[in-house]
Amino acid sequence: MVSSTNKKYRVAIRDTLAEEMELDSRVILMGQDIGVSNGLFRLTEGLFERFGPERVRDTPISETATVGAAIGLALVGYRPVVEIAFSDLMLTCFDTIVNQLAKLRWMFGTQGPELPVVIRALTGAGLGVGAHHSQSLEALFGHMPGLNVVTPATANDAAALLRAALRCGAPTIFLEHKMLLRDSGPVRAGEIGRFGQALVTREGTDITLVGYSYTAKLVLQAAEALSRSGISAETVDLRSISPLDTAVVAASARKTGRLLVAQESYKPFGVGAEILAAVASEGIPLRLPPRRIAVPFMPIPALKALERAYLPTVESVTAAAVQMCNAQS
Amino acid sequence: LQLSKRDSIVVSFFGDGTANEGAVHEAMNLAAVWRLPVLFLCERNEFAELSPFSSQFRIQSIADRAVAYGFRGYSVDGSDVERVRALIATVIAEMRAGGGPALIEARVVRWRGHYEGDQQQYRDASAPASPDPLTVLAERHPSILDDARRQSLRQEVLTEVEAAVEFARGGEYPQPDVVFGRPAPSAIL
Repeated sequence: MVSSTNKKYRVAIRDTLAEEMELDSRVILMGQDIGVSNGLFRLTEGLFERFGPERVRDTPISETATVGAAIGLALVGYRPVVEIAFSDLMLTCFDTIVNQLAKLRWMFGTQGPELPVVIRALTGAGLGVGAHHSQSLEALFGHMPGLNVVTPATANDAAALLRAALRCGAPTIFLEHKMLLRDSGPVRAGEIGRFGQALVTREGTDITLVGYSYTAKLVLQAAEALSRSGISAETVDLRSISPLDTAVVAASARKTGRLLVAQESYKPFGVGAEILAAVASEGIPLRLPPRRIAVPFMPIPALKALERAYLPTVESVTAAAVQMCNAQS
Repeated sequence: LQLSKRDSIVVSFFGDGTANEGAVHEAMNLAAVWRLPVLFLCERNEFAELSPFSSQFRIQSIADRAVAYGFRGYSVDGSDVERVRALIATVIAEMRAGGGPALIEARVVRWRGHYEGDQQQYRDASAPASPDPLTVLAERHPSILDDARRQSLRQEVLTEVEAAVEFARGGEYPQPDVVFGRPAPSAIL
């Protein structure tokens, strides 16, 4: 029996970093204000005191140089973890991530070196911090080969998938949702997660609701609300979007005949589009066309009242599901 | 401005933290190569988000970087309005005469945290923030701005700001469909 402890998502991440640093002296953390200041979201709290300035390194506001340094460290055998406090800022180092980090192993042959670089970044909206600090950019990274893109929704997945990211030896974009940091849940000690393995988080028969990161929580809450209206929703948490587990979604959609994907990012070329394409190309018979809940095709407003209206909510997911279940099929 | 042969210039403001972004270095070099009328004005306030200057730089002055791009750099006490004004007047005159870009570092010490609620544990609480440039100026020239005039100015500004806050508080939130119903600019034909 594996022991488990109740932890916040934020603490689960911090503790996993600490455990892995304890086990493996090659794990080095780098990022802005992660040392004395404990990170903007306190995700490295206490690690500077415990592991010192060599292994918990504050960087200047220079994302490109930091990711470049991480690549260099990884090439000579270290296992660097970069923290980028807002995933939006990864666009300043997008070239280094996509053109260098993601491609290096192909450029130097498929037998090339391991490249154990983990880039942890805070994703998502909900804090009213506007168009430059709230985006969900997972689809940009999911579009590119050579990167794992991981989107944990629970404290246990945050720990288990981060451990997997640290040990897998391949470049991994690890997206931590700001609105999940304070969520608590049981965390199983030492678990190593697997990428590309979606999880049915609630069984049901009438409709399949798919989410990941914050929307995995949202669809679960929607399923609870729907059960009070006599609708039995099955929910799926994708957990990683690259690799993407379409098989679990397809099996669920085949069972329920209705499919709704909720995402906090734009519709075009997004995760929902990919899921719908996979289900369509596998010829899964559905009772009515599948749907997506996404955000308006414009930057997110900072004003909280508008931000709430912009984002998917339990209500909007529930309403769409009710409509789909009531539609003539 | 260069293309339209106008004698205006561009002033680009930034801080300590931004100075270490790659885009800044590229912009400075490009401005130098094209001899653009750009004044790079760094308000150096001793902190980059949650980190002190000394942990982010190995130079004493950000102005030192100008020489690496081939233009002039200046450092000035940012709390001294008269010095800043005199320096900028000289620099702009040079730029208008075709002198190309320049970099000015205006030195101040930050008044508040990086964000409201910032505990600032990275900061020596005993080190003073820089004085208010307007207060410095007024105290230096009591004949121009006496106490009574300062008080009345302060009151005027306070009233104006309070009225603006009142106005904002009394306003209605924008309706979501008004905002989200608009097509993206790229879709407007």
